[in-house]
Parts: sequence; structure tokens; C-alpha cells
Amino acid sequence: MVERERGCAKMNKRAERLPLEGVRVLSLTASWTGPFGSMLLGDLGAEVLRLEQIQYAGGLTRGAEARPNEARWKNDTNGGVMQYVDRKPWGAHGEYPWNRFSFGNCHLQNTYSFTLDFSRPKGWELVKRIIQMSDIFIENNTPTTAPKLGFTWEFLNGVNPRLIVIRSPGFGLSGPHMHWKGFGRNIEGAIGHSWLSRYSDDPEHLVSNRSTYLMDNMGSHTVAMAAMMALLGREKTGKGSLVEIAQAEAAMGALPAPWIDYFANGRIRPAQGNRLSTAVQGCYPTAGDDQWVVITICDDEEWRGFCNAVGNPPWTKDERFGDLSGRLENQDDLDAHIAQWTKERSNYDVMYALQAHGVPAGPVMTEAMTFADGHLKDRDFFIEETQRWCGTHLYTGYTGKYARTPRKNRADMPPCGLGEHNEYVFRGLLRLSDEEYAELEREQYIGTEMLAEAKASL
Amino acid sequence: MEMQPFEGMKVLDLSNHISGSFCTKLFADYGADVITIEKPGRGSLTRHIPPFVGDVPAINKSVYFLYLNTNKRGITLNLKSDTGKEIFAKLIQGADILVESFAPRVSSDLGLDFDALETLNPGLVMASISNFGQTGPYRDFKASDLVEYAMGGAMFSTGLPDREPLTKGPNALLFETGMQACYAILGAYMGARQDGIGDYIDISIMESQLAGCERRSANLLTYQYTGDITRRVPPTAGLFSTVPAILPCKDGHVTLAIGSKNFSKFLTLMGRPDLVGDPGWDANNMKITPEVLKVYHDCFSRKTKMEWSEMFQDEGLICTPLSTPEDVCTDEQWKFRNFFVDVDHPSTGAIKYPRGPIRVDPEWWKIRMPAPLLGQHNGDIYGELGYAPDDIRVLETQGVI
Repeated sequence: MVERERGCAKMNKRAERLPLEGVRVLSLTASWTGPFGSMLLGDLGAEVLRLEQIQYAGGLTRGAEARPNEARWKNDTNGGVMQYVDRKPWGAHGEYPWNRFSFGNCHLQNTYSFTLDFSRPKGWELVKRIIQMSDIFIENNTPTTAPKLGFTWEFLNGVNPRLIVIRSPGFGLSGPHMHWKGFGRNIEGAIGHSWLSRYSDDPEHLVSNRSTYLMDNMGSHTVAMAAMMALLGREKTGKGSLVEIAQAEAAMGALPAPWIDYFANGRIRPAQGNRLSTAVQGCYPTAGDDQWVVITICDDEEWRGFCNAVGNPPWTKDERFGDLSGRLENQDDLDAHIAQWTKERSNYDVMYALQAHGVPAGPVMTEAMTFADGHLKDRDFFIEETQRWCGTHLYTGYTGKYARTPRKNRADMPPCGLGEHNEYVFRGLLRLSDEEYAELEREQYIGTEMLAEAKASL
Repeated sequence: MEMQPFEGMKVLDLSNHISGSFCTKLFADYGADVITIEKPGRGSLTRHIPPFVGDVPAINKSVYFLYLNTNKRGITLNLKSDTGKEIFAKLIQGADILVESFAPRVSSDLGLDFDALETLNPGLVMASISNFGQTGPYRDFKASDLVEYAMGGAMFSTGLPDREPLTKGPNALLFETGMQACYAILGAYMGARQDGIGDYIDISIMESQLAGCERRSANLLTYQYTGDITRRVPPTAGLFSTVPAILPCKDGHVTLAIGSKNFSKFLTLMGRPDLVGDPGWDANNMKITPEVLKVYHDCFSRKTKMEWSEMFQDEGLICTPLSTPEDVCTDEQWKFRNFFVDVDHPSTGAIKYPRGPIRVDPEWWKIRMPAPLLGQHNGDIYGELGYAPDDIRVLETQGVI
């Protein structure tokens, strides 16, 4: 493992056991919090069994629909919901579009996928057996979904009193809005994040879609953390527990200042764009099309560094820029000078020039820049994974480099295909005979292809 | 379960900024004994970040510091002095976890070398949180949360197409890193407690953004799969061509996501059942022309963002208010769930803070004590280490604590 060879050279002790070896997770999850949180446990050695159905293509994990029609993917020019390998749901790598969808594939690593139609009695009996041999059950659907399918706390706890049940809906399991639904952008609006990151107070400058959503990241890591906390608890009590995580609350916990400021001072945080009240900060154009650099100049020392880096032209001597409060008061003028300087240079050149003088600065990275970045390469951040249906690509790596703790390498378990591990689950874990297994396939309890009539969620 | 899950766990917190402090707060709020170690005199950097309660800068009134240090005991210690180093060596022997967030060069100057600390405490899990990690060409670069978002996050796709890329919520990214660090540390701790082998974790804030569960990870994959770059989009662009993603209403804005399946229902609920079946309003083949937009604007101006949201959501359609901080703080959902809870602090009185994200019955999350005053627990903790009150006074006059 690459990671264990890095870190401090002097360290010679090595852990042999994965931290969560022997822990089994049953994951009934849809994008993003649930599957990603499950994968985080898989990274630490848990065996994550992802329960899917060939009768249902939902939750955006495996595409907006099972088989998108040709006209739609041809007309889709900006990513949208057509994010398949080669842009084609069908194509050079064969069929199975649901195995080639980037949204799902970025969080289906270190995960075993099995399919099962548990709406029929035989399927339900099999699911029960898997619940009996599991330690953790994770779901992140709207609150009514899992109980409607039969997965109530009473049922789960009855089948396996040691089972830890983690439920992570958007708005929680109680309250007048518990049933509310929304995509990332809608929840970002409801929790105030869209309001808190505006260019200005002008409604024309509202941003409706950030293409990145706080609740997913906060939610998924909270799920993984809660699972380990519940395991620690179970050691003491011998019993499972019902754990609730509202994704919206996890996200709001990452924005405490505006709430406390309102409660304590009655202030509603005004729009600030990229600016701060404690530093000159902005995003400035650099050479090239749609290329940008961000710069933060906190104190006089960083200001002097900045002036030196830009070669001390006369405008840096303007007395209005003599101290921080003057620089903040006159930031529009100052920004114009800074932009004049940055737009003659590449964003990387600006970063190197300013960082050499102790000024925080960095390029606004595009996808291409991220993959080409020397620092990330030097730290071996990306993981090269080869998946049967997609080929070989770089996937984003782990949070934190362990010097000793072994992780299950995602490259050894790239994004799972639908039902890819049916044999492992039904023949390996449940010890079904050849005949029983063949019957499940024949009767379409299990499979690796979405049925033509599979329901879509959108 | 009556106990808190982290009860019995001991954490030393040497972090000076938001990520590390949030990470150790999560341990503290769920039961760990966390000792936060601050620089004598000035204290942690987070004591100096605005906003302040009462709007006047004061060492015990930064809302960041107050929120980040609930349930922690606080001591002061000068790690540069020899005596300070000796005392730290005693403290580390009782710890399960150490979190520090000094710049990589500084932490080695202070003697925070894992190999050395490990000889004092063989099972120790130590995490260093830094801007760019402990190795690599950017190791000693400086960063702000905006620089981290630009380099590690999705800033390029945040904002409007004809404007510069835009930040996310204030310092949100640093809280995300704190949460991710807590997960990573807990993973190593789960390993350490089964085999007694500690670990050193190098956590880069930039990499945490990239490694997180944001659309960025998917968008980086999409780029390789399709060549498509994820760009900033106009505010009206939605997943569907039926309704703009955002619409003004009586008291602000709502966000919407209405697909073809629900479009007739939407038009009816909006107050224009007459448009159902109109060729200009065919969900599978329509454009949002100025005329169409005017119809939406006229309809939506009649109700408030919460009225529209509740009405549509009750019918299973996606509509949410674009909430201001005031809306969030007075929202019936969060009131019902008691999400904002009063925390009483000697220098501010009771103020509402957000509660922890994990709920279990009986509660795992508890406020046992508010954030410490600077050096508040010097007497207790140095007493526990065997220092007599007179010794502690000497340490104070020497500037060690």
C-alpha cells in the first residue's frame, strides 16, 4: 500500500488488521450521503453490502433513469444528468449504462453490490437473513420510504437486537417539514447557504446552483462517524441503537457564525461576495479564458509582501492603502490595481510570485488543472482505478494520510457494478446451492441488468 | 445507552484554528475529555475572529471560539519554554489522541515530533491538520479558506457565468475539514484500540475538500469520462426546462425542481390550471420565454416563500424557501427539533448555538460546560499532574502558563 510506505520513514511498526475488519454494513442508500458514508466505512475495512434492485433505478446513483434515450444524451451539452463514460449511456464499453455513471461511481468503491427483489416473500426472507448477519444498517431516503418498504426500527431490531440502524434523511425524522424533499440546490436554499454566499444584495446576483452541496459532505462523514460511535457504544451495552442524522442539520453545524450572530446581536449577515472584514480578499482575472486567482492579504506584513511581489509600483505607495482599514475602505480601487497586475499573468505564476513573499494566493482550479497539479501528484493523492465497464481513471483519494493504519485500497475494489457481487452474497454468505441461485436469477429476484420496466425516480 | 460514546477518551487539542477545533469539539460534545491548550496571553486564534457577542472584540466573546470549544477544559501553556515542554510531556502520557494544526515548520520547531511523542505514549493517535499537508511543494504555502476552496473545492463552478467564481458560506470548508478529520482520527483510533499501535495522520485541508463528498469528486470523474467541464450556470438554469430553478415571490425567493411528471400538478397548484394542455406549456418541449417568465412572476408574487414551499411540498413537489439567516433561526422545523439550544457562558449569558448532528435516544450529545475562559482549568489540570498551588503560581509568574 502506497500510503503505508509514505509518512515518517522512521516508523517501523505496522498495523495488520483493518480498523473495521469484521464489521458488516447493509446499505440501502441513494446519492450522496448514504453511499459515500458507507464507502467511508468500507475504506476502513468494513464489508459494505449495497442492496439494489433491478426493478428500480432511483436516487441518481445509477443514472436519472435506467436507459436514457438517445435524443436526450445527444442534446445534453453541459453535463447535466448524462455523466456517462464517453458521454454515452451505450457505447464502446458495452451496455450497462448504470455501471458507467460518474455520480454513482465516485462513491461506490469498497462496496459490494447485490440485487434483490425484497417486495416478494422469498426475497424478504433472504433480506432478513442478511440483516441477522449485519452490524450496521444505513439508509438516507425520505423518512417514509424505508418503513414503507418494511424496514422499520421495530422490524430491524426484532430480527437483530445488536443491529445499529442509521437513518439520514434531509430534514430529519421529526418536525413539520420532515417530509420535505429537494435536490442539493433546494436544501442549500432552505438552510441559508445560498443566501450566505451571494455576490451582493441585488437579487439578480443570486446563485441558484453551486454544483456542490454542503449537506452531502457533512452528512456522509457524520454517518461514518456515528457508525463508529455506535460500535463503541455497543461494546458496552451489547445492544444496537437507532441513530438519526438530518443532513440539513449536519450542514448548518458548519455555518455557526451567522446563526449565533443573529441570536446574540440580531444581525443578519450582509452579502459580502468574496470579501472579508478582516483582510483584503478577492478573486481576480488572470491570463486565459475564464481563468482566476484568489488572494488574501491579512495584515501589514502580508501587504508589504504583496507590494514587494508586484515590484512596488507607485500605486502601492498610495496613502489610502497605508493600513488595513484604509485598504478595506478603498478596496474597489485597490482591486482594480490588483486585477491589472494579475491579468497579465497565469494564475499559477501569481500564486508562486505571491507565496514567495508570504501572501496567501492560489489558482481557481479547473478539472484539468487539478489533475495536472504538481503538489497533488507529489503527494500521490489520486487513486488510479480500473473498472470493468469504464476502463481506467483517476479517482479522488482519502482524507488524511495514515502512516500505519491500513486502509482497504479502493483500487482493489473499484466502483461496483449493479449486482456484481450477487454470487458473493447469495452463494458465499448465505450458502445457497447452485440450483437455488439459478432460481433467483430465473425468477428475476436478482440480476445484473435493470429490467426494461424498471422505475425511475425523476 | 446512558453513556456518551466517547466517555473515557482523552484528547489533547493544540489546534489554533477552526478545522482542528471543530474536530476536537465533536469529540468533546459526544463525551471525550478534551483539554485545549492555548498560548498564554493571546490564546487561540479563534478567540480573535469576528463576529463577537455584543459586537466588541473581546477574548471570550468570539462566536467562533464559543461554539468551537464547548465541553472542553482549557489551559494555557508556553510550548516554547523548557518547562512548558516538560509539562506537555506529562500531559501527552495520558492522552489517546493529539490534534495539532501548526504550520508544518512550526510544529517541528515546537518539538511536536510523532516519533518522540510516541516513545512517551506508545498507543497515541496524532493528527496534524495543515493547509497543504506535511509534504509536497506547497507544504509551506499560506492559505485562507478562500484559497483552499479555489484550489481544492468547487469554486470554479460556483457563481454566475459572467462573474468571477464565488466563495461558499463563511469558513464552511474549514468546518468540513474538521468533520472529515474527526472521521479519519476515529478510524485510526478504532485500529489503535484493537492492537495498541498508534498512528500519525497527515491531514491536508486542500485534499480534504477534494476527498470529500461534494459534487467536485463526481465532476472530476465526469471530466475524465466525458471531457465536460462543470461551469457556473445562470440562476434560472434548472435540471428541467419547465420552471426556473429560482423564482421571486412575495417576501423573497423560492427554489424549485419540477420535472415533466409533475408539471400539470404544478401549474394547477400555482393557480393556473388553464395552462394545462396549452401547447406553449408542454413540459417536454418548452422554453422559458419572457412571456412565460412573466406568468410565473405574477403567480408567485401572491404568496410568501414559506407558503409556496409548504403547499408544494405537502403535494410532493420540490419547492424550498431561499432562507435568510433570520428565516433559518426562526424556522418552525428547527424550533420543533430544538436544533438551536441555549448555552450559558459566564461572559455572554445564554445564547443559542447549533446542536450536534447525531441524535440518539437517550441523548449522546450534551453540553456539560461552555467554552473555557483563557486558562480557566490551569488549577485543575496542573493539579491533576501533581503541581501544588504554589508551583502553579510560579509557573504563572514565569510566563509558562
